[in-house]
Amino acid sequence: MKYVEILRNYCPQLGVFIFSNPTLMFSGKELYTYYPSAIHYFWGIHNIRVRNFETCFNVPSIDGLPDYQLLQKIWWAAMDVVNRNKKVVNMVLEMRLFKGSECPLTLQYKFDYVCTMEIARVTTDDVEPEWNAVIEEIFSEFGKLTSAKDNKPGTHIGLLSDYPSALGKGVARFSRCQQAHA
Amino acid sequence: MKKAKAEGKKVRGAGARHSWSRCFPEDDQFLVSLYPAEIASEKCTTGDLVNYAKSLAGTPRENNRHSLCSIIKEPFTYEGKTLARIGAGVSNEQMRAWCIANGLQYKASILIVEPSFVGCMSTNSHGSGITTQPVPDIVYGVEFINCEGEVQVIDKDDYHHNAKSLVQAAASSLGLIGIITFITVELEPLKFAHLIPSIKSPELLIPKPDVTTGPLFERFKKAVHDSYSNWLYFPVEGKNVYENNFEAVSEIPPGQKL
Repeated sequence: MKYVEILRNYCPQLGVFIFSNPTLMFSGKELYTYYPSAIHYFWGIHNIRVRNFETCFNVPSIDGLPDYQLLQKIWWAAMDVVNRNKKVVNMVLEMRLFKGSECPLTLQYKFDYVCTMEIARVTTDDVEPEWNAVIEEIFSEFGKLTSAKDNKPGTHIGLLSDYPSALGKGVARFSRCQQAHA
Repeated sequence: MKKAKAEGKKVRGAGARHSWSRCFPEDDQFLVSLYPAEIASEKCTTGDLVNYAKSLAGTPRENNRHSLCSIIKEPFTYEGKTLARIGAGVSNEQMRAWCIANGLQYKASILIVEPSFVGCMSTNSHGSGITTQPVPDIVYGVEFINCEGEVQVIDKDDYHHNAKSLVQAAASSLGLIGIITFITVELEPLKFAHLIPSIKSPELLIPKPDVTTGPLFERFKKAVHDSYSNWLYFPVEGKNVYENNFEAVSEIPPGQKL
């Protein structure tokens, strides 16, 4: 991680986020760094213009452990759609996990565990209709996913946000998903 | 706030460097940024921000040339908790540098360094790691200027007013309670991250849903329970998944360097 620190401190103009991603620079190597440096490893991301789409899943706890199979389903559902639409989704598919929140206005309030799936494309040209079609496709696939805990499709999507559109658009899509799978 | 109230105008707190939504103030209304002017300006680069962090690291915060809201007070202990009071103009980059200098850390925050720490809290931002919670969950107290222009302070020890739930609501308020000026956060002793980033075929890192036993599934389970879990797939590359996980450790083994 020494090189990341050098880049961060002395070449900040090279701060495009891929240079700071440890997987890209140090795959297979064993590294140690300070914990705060390891969690804050992106910088310069505001220089990249993207269309971004993030879904937040409520992953239920089964016997005190997260529903691993739901995580696998989420990843593969997203990856299959992205692979069918590589021309439109040209940036990244990213999955992260964390615990639910106790703060009432957070999106993850009282979730057991949370899985977020972020999908982004670089906005070098206007492919708005195609992008919207991909979102609909991914959303339709996510709506079919079930957890072994309750086996009800469409019940584990906590939020769907679609930037830079207004949040309302995403919420509307969420509502439609619930109706479709009710 | 008082001027806005007298003139019947709106006040919007400015975010910094990470918003794809169209969050702009209306014409002829008030926009408040708690970053110093040179950082809040349009031409700010990451380099400016790193220098901004360096200018404060290891120096008495009370006497710096920046605004009051850029202060990080020295950590203090209260009822066994390590707390620090952080101004709303403190960036994540500053927090990162300050925590390392003071032997402290917080479990979760967002990946990027440019936004302010308080901004991450009030927008309910999250990091990663199955044992971590979103940023507002580590907040102990909130100080803000309400719509009347008065300073209000709430912290979790004010049990007479059910303050724990008040703090939780204020910390996750999405900018609705007013202009937040300071927060107090709970910190923990500094640890190290042990990373073994890997790039492998998707099936090897995240098995297909029908695989629920075997070594690959056990490896995935372990990755889910790492201190930090992050999987990336770049469709243009289209072959591999990039697993950027790490485990928190208290000490670095002999022979290993930072």
